Amino acid sequence: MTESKHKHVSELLKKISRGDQKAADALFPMLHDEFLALARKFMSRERVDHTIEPTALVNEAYLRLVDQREADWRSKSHFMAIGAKAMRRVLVDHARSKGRAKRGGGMERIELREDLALSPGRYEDVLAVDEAIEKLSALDERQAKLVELRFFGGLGMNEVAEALGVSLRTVESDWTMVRAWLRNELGEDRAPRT
Amino acid sequence: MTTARYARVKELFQAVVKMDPSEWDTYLERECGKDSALRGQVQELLRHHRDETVLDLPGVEPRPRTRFTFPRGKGDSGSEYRLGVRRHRLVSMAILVLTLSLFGLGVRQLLVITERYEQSLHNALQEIVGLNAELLERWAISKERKLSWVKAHELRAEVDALVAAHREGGDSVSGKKSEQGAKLRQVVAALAPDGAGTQYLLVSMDGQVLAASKQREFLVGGRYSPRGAELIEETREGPAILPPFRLDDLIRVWPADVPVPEVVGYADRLYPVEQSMTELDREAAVASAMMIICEPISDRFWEGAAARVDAIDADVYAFNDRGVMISRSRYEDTAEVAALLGGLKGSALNLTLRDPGQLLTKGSVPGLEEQGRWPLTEIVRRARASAESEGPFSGVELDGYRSYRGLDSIGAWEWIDSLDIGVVVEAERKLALTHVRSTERIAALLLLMLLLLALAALYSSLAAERLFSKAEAGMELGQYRLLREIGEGGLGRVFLARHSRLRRLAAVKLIKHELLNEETVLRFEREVQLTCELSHPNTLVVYDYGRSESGTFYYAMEYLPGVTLAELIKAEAPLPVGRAIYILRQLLSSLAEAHGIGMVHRDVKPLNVMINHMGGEYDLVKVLDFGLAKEAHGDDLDLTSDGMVSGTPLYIAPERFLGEGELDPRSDLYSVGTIAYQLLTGQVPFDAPTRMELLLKVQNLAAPRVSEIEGVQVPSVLDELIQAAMAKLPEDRPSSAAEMASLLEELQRDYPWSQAEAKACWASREASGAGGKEAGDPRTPRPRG
Repeated sequence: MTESKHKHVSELLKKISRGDQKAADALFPMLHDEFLALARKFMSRERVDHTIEPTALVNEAYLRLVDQREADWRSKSHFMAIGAKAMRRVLVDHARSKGRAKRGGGMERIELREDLALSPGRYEDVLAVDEAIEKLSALDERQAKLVELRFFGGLGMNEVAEALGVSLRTVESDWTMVRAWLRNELGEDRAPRT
Repeated sequence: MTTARYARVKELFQAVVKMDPSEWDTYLERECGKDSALRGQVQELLRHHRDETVLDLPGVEPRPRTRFTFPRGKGDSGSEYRLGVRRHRLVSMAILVLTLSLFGLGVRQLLVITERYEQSLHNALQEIVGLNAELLERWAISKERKLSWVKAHELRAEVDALVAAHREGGDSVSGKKSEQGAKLRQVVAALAPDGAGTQYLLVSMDGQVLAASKQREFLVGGRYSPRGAELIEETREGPAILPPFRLDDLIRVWPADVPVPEVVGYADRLYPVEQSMTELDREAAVASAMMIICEPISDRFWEGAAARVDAIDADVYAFNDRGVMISRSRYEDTAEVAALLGGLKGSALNLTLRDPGQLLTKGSVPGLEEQGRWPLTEIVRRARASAESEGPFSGVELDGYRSYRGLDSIGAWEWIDSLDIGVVVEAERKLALTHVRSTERIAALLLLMLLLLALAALYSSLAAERLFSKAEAGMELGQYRLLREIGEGGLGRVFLARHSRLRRLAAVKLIKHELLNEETVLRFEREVQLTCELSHPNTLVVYDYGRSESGTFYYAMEYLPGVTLAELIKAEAPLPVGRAIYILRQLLSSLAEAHGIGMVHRDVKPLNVMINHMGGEYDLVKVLDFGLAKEAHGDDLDLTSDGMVSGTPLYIAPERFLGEGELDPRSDLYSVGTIAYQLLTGQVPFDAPTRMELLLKVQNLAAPRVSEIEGVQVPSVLDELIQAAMAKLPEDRPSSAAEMASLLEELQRDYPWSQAEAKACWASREASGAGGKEAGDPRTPRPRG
């Protein structure tokens, strides 16, 4: 990690905090490449028991890419928000490329936790969540973003509130509903019924 | 769903979720008003609402358990009681298979151990008999060496003189002979290590005893027996050690008053002095006489080395070519061997090795004459047979044979061809195999116990399983006592039950343990509560529901004495138009009430409609499973879910396959149309070999009109109505069940159906025996789930 890259990221974050959308657009490909490299490194080992914890990766990237002396918690939220999006893209692409992620079989069982773990053979989870987010974004953009941040970025409630620019109460309230919605969406129409 | 709609759902959800669950329904009713779909969507979310952050989705929630938890007291959770019966059975089978493999392995190992032990026994016996045979051969060699003085020149000179005198012949020279005999005695005394005590016989080659030691002098002048001639033959190749023999065997006439000594002997041909000097070929040489040295057997013959075979005492003995024991038996002094000897002293040369055919006891030994008819023991026969066929000269008998004492024995033998002597080592089989037998017995016992335990475990697990399924009959659930099982469906089993105080019969359905967890129980409760809001006489009445002590969820419902429409169609369709209308009207009325309060049945099909004779009324329709069906199948149609796999897509409205659509009461009308079609024609509107094809047809093809079916006469209004009800788009169908019902009511005027006609139908049903297995036994709802 070069000094200049450090500086670059920090500057971008400062701009993002001021609401500069272009800065966010510039940060996204950087993070995407970063995660893609990491994911490839993990996946090349292709050990079945190996899992990537995307949220941990995003956090790690933040620590490495951002000069901590200049960072404040606001800029972290923004970083993480973009990181979550980049991570989602990487994971979904990877899952799709595996081809085996054929969905709609109806019998697959999905077990999701907030710290969505990715391991070879669990691509379906990633794709299912991705699809759910896609669907939700057509109904409620903010809730969709919330899911992305929680699942792919591992953001805490406070961080989510900051990244989305809404109150903590709103986030919590949204989260309550989104959980039920996801359970319904992912569980009901896929889990085998008796 | 639109964004606005979602926003509304969100608003309601977020408001409701803060309230107490008891207030939810009231609030939603007020807020949603007539929009039952909106209410449904919010309820949907509420059902999935939980406070945990972790999304453990229902699909993975009821993990199969192998743990077998016995039901606990009241109020415990149903999920605790969940017993993965299938898994349990699998475990039992696995245990059995494992045990059987272990058993097989044990048996195999045991066989290996036995085999190894027998192998080592075999080796030990062979070794001992070989050792003894070698000792015997060494004894013979040393004996021969010791007697080499017989070839001394002086001796042969004397012998030559004696032979010459014998050739001159006649008794006239006897005096001269005895004089020469005395001279020979002096020479022998001088040469032999035993001196004057040496026992000997000098025999002419034509078989007459020419001279003898002092004690045997009475034999002089006697002649050889045939056996004696054989002995002479033996010495053709050189000096021979003679296996122990009785001296009287050798001599044709033995004086009656002289005891017969048993001896071991040494015989050698003696050649004229001149001949041996020239070292002539033995073949060409003519022997002058034969010298036999006799020694008493008792102290001079080899005695078998005391042998122990694997800590078991074994008998070692030698025998001659006649099967006569020539050594001393270690059992010589036992009562039964003494009896065998019949008064003779010592076993050597007195005991023929015969198979008594049974275990000998002192009392059971017959006389010598009868003993003579017994065959030789098997081991001796084998040894002799081998000797005759020139080998092999040793063998081991592990399979068991009877020894001369009648004992089941094992042993080894060796034949020493140069001496014409066999050696045997033998031990009692029982004793020899004691170790391995006891090992075997213990191991077999352990293995048997293992097997029994496994079987017992399997049995008890099966019994426990049966107990759990049986236990339910006779069980009391709330006010209901279960009488007997009357059916089984996907949701669970249905029992005939009686209310303990009202004495009323009821059908009680027990929801499968596997389906139960806190969430599903709540949902079942809500659905049963909803169903209870229905009060139409053509709707099955749910009486009660609850949880058993073991956590089983059950609900009690009306017990219906009738048959399902499916059975009716199979047996009697096409029905008279009047009767079909009569049935359809009732079915629609029941649905109309439900639709009125926002409930869609979703699973109207012949199996869910029963036609009954009850309360004095015939052809009374009852619609089953409002709402409950949904619980089993989930809210959306999913072609891969169990309910669909076992069922048929025939009755499901096309739009419901498309998923997204909101629940529409007109979907039920489609199902009614299909049922009507079948009632009137006896045929299905669509038929296909596979579910998928059937589904495609339901989606895309129009069914042939009822009126087009050959032999079917229907009023055109009814034909139109069915056609409309089965329209692919809900909008093209009659607007409501009530509307359809009132149309049919009008039609009924022209096609009446009286109770008398209905009664006649029921009577003919029962007469034809189609009524059921037990005459007059009312049938019950075919359970489904």
